[in-house]
Amino acid sequence: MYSPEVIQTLAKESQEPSWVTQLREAAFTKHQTLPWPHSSDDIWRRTDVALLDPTENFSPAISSGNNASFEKFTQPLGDERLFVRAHNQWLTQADIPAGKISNLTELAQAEPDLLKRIFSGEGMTEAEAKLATLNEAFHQEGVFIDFPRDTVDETPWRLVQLIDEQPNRTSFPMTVIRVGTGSKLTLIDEYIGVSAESDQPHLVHGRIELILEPGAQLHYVRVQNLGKQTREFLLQRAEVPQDATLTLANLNLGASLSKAHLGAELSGAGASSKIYGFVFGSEGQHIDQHTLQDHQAPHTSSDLKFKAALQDKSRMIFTGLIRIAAQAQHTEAFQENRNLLLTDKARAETIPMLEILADDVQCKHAASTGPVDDEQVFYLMCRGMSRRAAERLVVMGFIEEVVEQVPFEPLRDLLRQRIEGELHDLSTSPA
Amino acid sequence: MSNQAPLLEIKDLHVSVEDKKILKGVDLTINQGEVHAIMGPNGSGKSTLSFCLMGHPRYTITQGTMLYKGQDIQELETNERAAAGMFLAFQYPTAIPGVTVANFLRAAMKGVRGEEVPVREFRNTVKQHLKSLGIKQSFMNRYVNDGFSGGEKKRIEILQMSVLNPALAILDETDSGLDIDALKTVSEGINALRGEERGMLLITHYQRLLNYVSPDFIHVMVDGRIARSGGPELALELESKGYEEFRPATEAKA
Repeated sequence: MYSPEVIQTLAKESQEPSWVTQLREAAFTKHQTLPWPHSSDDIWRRTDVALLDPTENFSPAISSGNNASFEKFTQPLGDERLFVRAHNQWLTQADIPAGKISNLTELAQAEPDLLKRIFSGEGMTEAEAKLATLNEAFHQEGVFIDFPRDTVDETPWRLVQLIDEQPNRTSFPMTVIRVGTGSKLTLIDEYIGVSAESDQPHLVHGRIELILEPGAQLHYVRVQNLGKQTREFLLQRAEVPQDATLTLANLNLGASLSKAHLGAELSGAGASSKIYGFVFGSEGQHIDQHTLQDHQAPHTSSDLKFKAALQDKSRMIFTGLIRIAAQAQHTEAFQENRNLLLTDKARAETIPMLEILADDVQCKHAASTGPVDDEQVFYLMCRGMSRRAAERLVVMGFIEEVVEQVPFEPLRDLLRQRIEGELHDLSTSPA
Repeated sequence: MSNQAPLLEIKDLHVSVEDKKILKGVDLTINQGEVHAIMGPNGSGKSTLSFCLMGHPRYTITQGTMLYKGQDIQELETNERAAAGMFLAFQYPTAIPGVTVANFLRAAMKGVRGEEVPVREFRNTVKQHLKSLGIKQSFMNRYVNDGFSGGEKKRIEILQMSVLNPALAILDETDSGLDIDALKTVSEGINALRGEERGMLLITHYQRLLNYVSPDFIHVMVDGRIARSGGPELALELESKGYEEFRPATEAKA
């Protein structure tokens, strides 16, 4: 179903420069030559990658022409600058004080070198490239945000990408965000699945590139809110050069299967990143998150905290790699993974991975997996709360630590309501 | 009042943790308006008693009864005991990350009363108690006991007690880990809550809290039993002689 002919159709629709089409073709050729990730690789072992292969049973997404179901997402939640996109079209586009929000064809025309660099596959493992080349070949819902140098916007930007979850079709969103030297931007990037009421899967192959210039500050929040029949592969990478600061929060609420690779490369002295992750798992959700804290320069810091609250039969896999290059002396890297199991059948696995070649660094990792703490529940019950109320309060508190990283109150409220609404009561049997 | 059941009546209480016997026959009666202190060395079972009164799941009651206002509280869930008017100030208050003191107090008031507390009333009640305990308003936005100093935790315990207004307050080592100023504030908080309607049980290792809060009765607990009971003068005797002579003869020389 996915062939060079599909690429020709995409090229015509987007009216992109011919060299972009050639990059697509090269990516598809590369995809075909690379092997699928093997289960001997710890990062891939626990997820069946065949479920992420669109080439056999999936077709390209088409515009349904029915935008009525998208309308309800076009109202702002508060005073944010809202951009809503579906089927490669803007439904809402707020005024912005500076910079540019456009698509990948415009990016290709304005900044050919930048797009070429993104397509180069540099810094990817072969396994990642096997999947990422699919998006490079077939991307059709591209967003390019270019925030110029020496600009500060205290108002959050909220980008809503509506994914039309047509059964047995694949969406390939690619988002490129660049923040200029000395600038400061808060961007919330929501992927909302608009479900097609089908028991057949939809597939999303996503790519996110966050490019900070020296001294830039970006607070980036990704909310994955896909439907229950949707599977996702995401490759999200960030480049954090000298004195740049990146705060990331990746919140996973939906999808039946999500395999996400989230990386931050600290490439210049003084670069720092804070990375938060959250997974709320229900039913049979399978959420496999791989993170890379990649220290390539001295005097860099990264602090990662990933939390999961898992109910029903959901499963979370966290593999967190800290890589510190030989030249990256005086580096601090921390990693923490906390998993709360809300039922006997929920499962979490956590695998920290360290590749440390420098000798003068501070590096720590911690992980825990377990049920709601009896002592916390007892304390709350001593204050008059029922077991049910106490357990819910503990779980919401656990979640709050990540929710509070969302720098926009109306969305925080929405997330709390959503999670609290979906949170089942725990077992009523005494501990 | 005379024909009413005592506020708390513990009879021949035996308690084990994982087959280890901790309490070996405790008898204790507290009436409304009385302040009792239990003193004893570490490991004598003082904290076990306080946890048992609130129904901590780790402790197994193997014998005896605990009656609160005449009702056998073993039938009650922990939160039902709280709603009935029992309160335990913890020796080591538990941190609840992500839950603000304000949300926690509101949920606690709702739990104890069995109904939602009007926002204005909640705000006024809390404000008044914060002021009298010298706690900054900003505490309300902090997470419960998360990163609190020892003194801050104890003040917040007293704040909770003041707001929830229990009929029986059990204070487990509320004086431990406090500097002298914090001890004074906390003691004032306790004294403010003394009254005809309330009973109190102070559990303490040291005499020093009793310099600020003077109990009506003192009980010495050693090895899971109350070895002796008396008036305030017993504290002074303990101060000079220590706990040694209260130990059973077989253990005294061990």
